[in-house]
Amino acid sequence: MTAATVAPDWRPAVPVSYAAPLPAVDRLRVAPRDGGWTITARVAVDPGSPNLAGHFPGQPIYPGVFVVETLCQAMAQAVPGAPRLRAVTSIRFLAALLGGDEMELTLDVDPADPGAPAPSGWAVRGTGRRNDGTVTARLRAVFDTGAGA
Amino acid sequence: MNAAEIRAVLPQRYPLLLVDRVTSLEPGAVIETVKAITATEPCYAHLGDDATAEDYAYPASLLIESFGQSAALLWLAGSAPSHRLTDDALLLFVGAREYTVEGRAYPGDVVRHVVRLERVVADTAFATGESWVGERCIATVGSLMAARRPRAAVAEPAAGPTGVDRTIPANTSAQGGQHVR
Amino acid sequence: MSGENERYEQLREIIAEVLEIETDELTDTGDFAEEYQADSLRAIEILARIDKAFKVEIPQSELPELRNLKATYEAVTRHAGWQD
Repeated sequence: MTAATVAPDWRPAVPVSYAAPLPAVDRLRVAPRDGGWTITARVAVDPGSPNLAGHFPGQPIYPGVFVVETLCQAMAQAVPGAPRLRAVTSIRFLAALLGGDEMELTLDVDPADPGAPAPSGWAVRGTGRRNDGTVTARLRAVFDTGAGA
Repeated sequence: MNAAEIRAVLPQRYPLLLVDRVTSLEPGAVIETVKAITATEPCYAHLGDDATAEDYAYPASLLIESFGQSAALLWLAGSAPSHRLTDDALLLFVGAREYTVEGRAYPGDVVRHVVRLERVVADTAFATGESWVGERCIATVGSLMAARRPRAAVAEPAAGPTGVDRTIPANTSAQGGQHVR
Repeated sequence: MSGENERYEQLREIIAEVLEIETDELTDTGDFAEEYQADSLRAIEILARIDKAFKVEIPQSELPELRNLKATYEAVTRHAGWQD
C-alpha cells in the first residue's frame, strides 16, 4: 500500500471524449509526489453492462484488457497533457473481477527518464485490488506525454 | 475460418467478439486473423461532433483483446478435441509482457494479427506476434499468456470479505457455473 | 568454466526479468515464492523462458523443484546434458 502523506479528495471521472469500450473510471484521486503522481482510480463492475453480456454470456467477468482501459483513462484524466499508452511492459491478472465487484487501481507515475529536464514519458507501476482487498492485477506500463507531445 | 466458425469456438459474444476472420492457420504454430474496424463500432457511439481524428484511434484495450482472441483460436485449433473449450472451462487472459504500441488504427482500417504460439505449459499458453494495418505495424507483442481454467473456480467468491460488501444482484448468474453454450 | 558461468548468469537474467527484480537482487538460494513473491504463473513463465532461451524442455512435473536460482540451474543442466 502506498502511504500517501496528503489525502486528496476523490473526484468524479469526466465523460470520456475519445474512443473507448466503456467508462472505465468512476472516480479518481490524484496526489502529486516527487515529479510524478500517485493516482487511485475506482471502477465498479456493472453486471448489466453490454460488454459483460458478451464476456461471457451468463458469466460476467470484467475482461483483463479493461484493466488496461482503466489504466489509460486514469492516466488521461489525471496527468496533464492526457498521456497515451506506449507499452505495457508487464501485466498479470491474479483474480477475477465479477459483476458487483469494485476495482481500485493504484498507479505510481514517475518520469520515464528521471535525469531529463522535462519528462519525455511516464513510467507507471500499478496494482489493482478488489473491494475485499484481493490483488486482482499488477502492471508496469510506459506512457508518452500526450497527443501534443 | 469465417465468423460463424469463430463464434463456435470462442466463448466471447457481441460486443466483445473481436475476430472477424481467420485467413491462415497452422495449428499449434501460427495464425493470421482479421478484425475490420468501422465507425459504427460501439466504442465510437459516445463521441461528439467535436471529436478529433485522433479521438477515433481504436482503443489499445480492444486491440489487445482482439490479438488475445486470435491467440485463443490458434491454441484451441492445436488442441485435442477433448481439450477444446467446454461448458466447464474458460480461457482467461492471465498476463502479457512487452506489448508495444507502434501505431494506431482508425475506422476503415483492417487490422491483421499475426500470432505465433511459443509454448504451452501446465494449461498456460504463451503467444507472441504483431498487429498490422496494411504494411504498417501497429503493435508488437512480446508475450501474451492465457490459461484454461474451470468456470466454477473463476467465479468463486472471494474468501472472507473484509472491506465493502461484494453485492451481486440475485437475478444475475455471476456466481457458480452457468452453462449457457 | 566460463561457459557454465555465462549460462548461469544468463539464467539469472531470465529469472530476474520474470520476477521483475534486478539481477543483483536475485541470490543463488533466494526462494522465488517466499523472497520474491512469485506465484504459480511466474514459475510457469520461468519454465517457458528456459525452453526458449536454452532449447531445454523441463517437464512441468518438475515445476515445484524450481524454487531458487541454484536448483533451477541444476534442473536445466540435467535436462540439457551439459557437461562443464
